Amino acid sequence: MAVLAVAIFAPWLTVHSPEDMDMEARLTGPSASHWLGTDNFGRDLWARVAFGSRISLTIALSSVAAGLFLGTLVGLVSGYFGGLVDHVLMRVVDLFLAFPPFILALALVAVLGPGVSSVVIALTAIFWMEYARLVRAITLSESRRDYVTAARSLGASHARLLFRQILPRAFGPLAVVATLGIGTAIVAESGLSFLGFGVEPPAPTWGWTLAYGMRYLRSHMWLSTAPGLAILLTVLGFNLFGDGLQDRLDPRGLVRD
Amino acid sequence: MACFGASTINPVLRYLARRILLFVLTLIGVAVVVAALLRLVPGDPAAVFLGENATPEGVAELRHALGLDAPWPLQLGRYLSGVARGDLGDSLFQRVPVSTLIGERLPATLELALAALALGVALGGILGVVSALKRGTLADLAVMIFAQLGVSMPVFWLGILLTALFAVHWGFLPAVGRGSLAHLVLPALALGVGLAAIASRLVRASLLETLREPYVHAARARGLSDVRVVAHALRNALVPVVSVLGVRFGALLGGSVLTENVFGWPGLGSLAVTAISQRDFPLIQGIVFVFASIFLGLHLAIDLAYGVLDPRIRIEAGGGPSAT
Repeated sequence: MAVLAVAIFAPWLTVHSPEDMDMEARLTGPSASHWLGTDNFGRDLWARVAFGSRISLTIALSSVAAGLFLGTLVGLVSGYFGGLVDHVLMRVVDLFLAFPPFILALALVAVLGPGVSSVVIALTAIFWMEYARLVRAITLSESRRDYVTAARSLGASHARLLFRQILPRAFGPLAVVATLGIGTAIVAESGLSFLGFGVEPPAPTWGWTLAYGMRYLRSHMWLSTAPGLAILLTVLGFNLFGDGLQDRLDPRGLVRD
Repeated sequence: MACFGASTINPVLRYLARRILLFVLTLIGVAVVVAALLRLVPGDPAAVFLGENATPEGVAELRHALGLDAPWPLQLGRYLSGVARGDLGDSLFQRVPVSTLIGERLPATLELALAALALGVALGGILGVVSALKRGTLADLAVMIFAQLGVSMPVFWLGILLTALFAVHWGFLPAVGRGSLAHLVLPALALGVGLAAIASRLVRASLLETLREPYVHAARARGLSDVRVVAHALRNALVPVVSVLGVRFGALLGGSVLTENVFGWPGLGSLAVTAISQRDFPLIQGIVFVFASIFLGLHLAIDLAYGVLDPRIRIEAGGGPSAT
């Protein structure tokens, strides 16, 4: 919640802009005027971390949402219609799962080029399979229940059955995986930025700020500590929230490690 | 009387054959996807590679060298036949076979990944057992905190912290490079901690569940020592853990890219970053294919290991136990 608040209210929570340079205050440690210190261009590190949260959260939420949409659609169709449709769709899922996730994301960013949309597409490509499998499992199970049979016999259309009857049953487990997925997306986006392949500088992404801070590890360690802590606390928050959601919304344990 | 040879070997062979066939088919699918990556490049891959130096003649020449002037089915067929022969094309930047470059770097990545895997499994296993046996105590809480922090910590930041502490501040271990066991410690630790965190939770949960099984109570009632009971339960508790850790190895491979860049480890991961920076598409494709192959190979090994750890799996896969 705190990170979300920082992301939303960043312009009001920071005195400096993340691009403002003050060469007389370059590489200074934490102080009253620069809470987390400054980098070698005199840019305020707190401002860069705060505005960086907007980028990370935007990309993470977008990619998880896109993955949810795609995965839910595939899972519903696959589990409901079965047969050849299920077989083909699940083989596509298996094919995507054959790639180590970060390697696939890296390959996609490599061919698509850097930028927000490339990163979102790359991260969506590594998330949607898990959602598809989960929704398929739930759809397979729910399709055989009496209430679905009854609705079908009363003339309910496929779309009505899928979206009004079956899909709501998946909301709980999907909320859990999506919440946990946000943390994973933030780490993945930060990793891509750390390598220089995410959102391009001078955008103050956490990964890039951390990578930049590595150059001053010996003398100015706070440059890499601040963005690193930001990533850790954000991901920890989403993971703990997701674990808590799992206890409340997924009592059957459909979402597993 | 059942014939041991005919009725018990066939299910095992069938299980093996099915898994290997699935492996080969998936590998072909992976090669198709890798070949298709070039079609995602916005614009002409040859022009993208040449950048500002692109001339119409240069672009045409490079397109021909990459086979991009051929119809897509022919491009795909050439790529697949090349992969089958171990030919992954030539690096655009370094003008040497991609397979040669990968062959030079692969051992370093495998060394790092296996060291991290061993460290992660060992550490996670120990912590998981301690946590399960000391459930509700301070030790259990400490392991749970470690597990939460471990899965939340970005591997590249952990690598930086370890470097700052052990290499820069204390000077115990080298910060970058490869050459001795000392060089391996920090990168393996950075990469293995995440896996240890996950493994500790899995082992804890699985062991707690197994210790509730009736056969464990029966073993205790028969007077078996706690150590033997736990050892016996642990073997069964490991079955689901092996499967999940196999999936997590994919994350380990991805993490190795980041770890290699933090520690200057000369593996496939750092080669991948160089290739992407240079827009060296054949090299990128080759590296992605090799990473996926390693991942698939591990899954195959785990599936086969399942048959060793849990005979019910190969009997079920073979169509049920033979009639007596």
